[in-house]
Amino acid sequence: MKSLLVKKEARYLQECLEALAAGEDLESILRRYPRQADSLRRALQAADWLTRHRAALQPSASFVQASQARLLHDLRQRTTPRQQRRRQFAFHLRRLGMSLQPVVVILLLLTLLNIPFQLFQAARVALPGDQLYPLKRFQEQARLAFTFDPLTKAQLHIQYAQQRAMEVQELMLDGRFEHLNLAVNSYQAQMERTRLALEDVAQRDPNMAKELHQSLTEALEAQGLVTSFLIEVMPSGLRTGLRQALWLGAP
Amino acid sequence: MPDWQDNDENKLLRRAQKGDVEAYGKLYESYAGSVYRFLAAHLEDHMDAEDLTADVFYRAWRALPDFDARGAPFLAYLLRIARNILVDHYRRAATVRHVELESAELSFANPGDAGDGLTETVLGRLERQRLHQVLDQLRPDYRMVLVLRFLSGLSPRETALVMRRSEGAVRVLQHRALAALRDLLSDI
Repeated sequence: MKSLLVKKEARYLQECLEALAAGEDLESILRRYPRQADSLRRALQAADWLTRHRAALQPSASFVQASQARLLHDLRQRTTPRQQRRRQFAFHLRRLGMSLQPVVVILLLLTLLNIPFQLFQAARVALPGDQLYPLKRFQEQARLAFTFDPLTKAQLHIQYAQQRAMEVQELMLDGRFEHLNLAVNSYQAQMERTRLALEDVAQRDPNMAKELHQSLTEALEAQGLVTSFLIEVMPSGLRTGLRQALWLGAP
Repeated sequence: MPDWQDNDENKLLRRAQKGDVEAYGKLYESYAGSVYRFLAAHLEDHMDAEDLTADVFYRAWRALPDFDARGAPFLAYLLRIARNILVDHYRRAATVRHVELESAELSFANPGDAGDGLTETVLGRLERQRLHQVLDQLRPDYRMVLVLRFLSGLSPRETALVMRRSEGAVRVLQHRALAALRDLLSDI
């Protein structure tokens, strides 16, 4: 509260100083601030005292002339044509830099905005165990969260189920067995979600649900062929577990 | 400052930035007084103030190609340099607090070349000593704001640039500093 009052009075004081500088009469200025008039008057008297002492600090004309002459003489001596050229170059370089500033800022902004876009793009091909894989799953979850039509939602689930199956295959191909467990679990979880989504559609439109189920079965059969082929070339210790896990996940 | 003068100053500045010594000389003519007053208000010895005024302009010349006329006005830029030079000077002379009575007497004995006549010079020196006597009793930031605003003639915005504070903070500081000054004046 006190600081607000001080700020207010400081502003009034500045207004008074400006009015005085513009040639207004002190008394008429103070009449505008009846409540602060006394303290403003005291402050303005102090300011006036200072301004009157300004002349006491005026440099002598002889000093200004002599020091100016000395300065110019020194600078002419020091500034060789080469230095002058360098100075001009520095000046123009700086001006160029200043004029390019907005362009640089825009480019920087574009780059910064582009980084998330590129990250999301890169995340699309990430596999379980990759650093960007959680981002890929986040994108999928976000898309599902903003899809309110059950049919479209079911289609997305089917797409993601295929995606999980392909991830298992790619890990097998890459020989990244340490992440297979995670991939297979994700596949199973996705299949369960797809089944629930299809049930949801079936309650509203049984025929459409049938069609979707058919397309899912076909897609997974195609994937299943590849997967079963890949399982055969897996280390023997993994084969049985993989077969069970993947077939268990079938609709 | 009227627009035409502002434009003239900008032209001079651009020429000086490119190395035109004559243009810089004109800027010196315009601003030496304000820079000198700022320094003289902080220094007892007017010779120191003269030397440091020259230093300010030498240093400003070296840094001039980097000066951005769109930022601080040139006077604020000069006074910022002056403030730094003053700090350096204080550091160098940390042990020597110049002259109270002794030097004042010496000054009267050697009035120098600063006035048109002896009486005027002596009166000027008396005024100056009284000013110092009062300013010396103020807090450094109060002294700085008063010197910049009322002796060097900077606007609140320019003062804010030199002191690296907001304009609002400078207004409040000015208000408090004037109140403190008024108290001191009534005590004397």
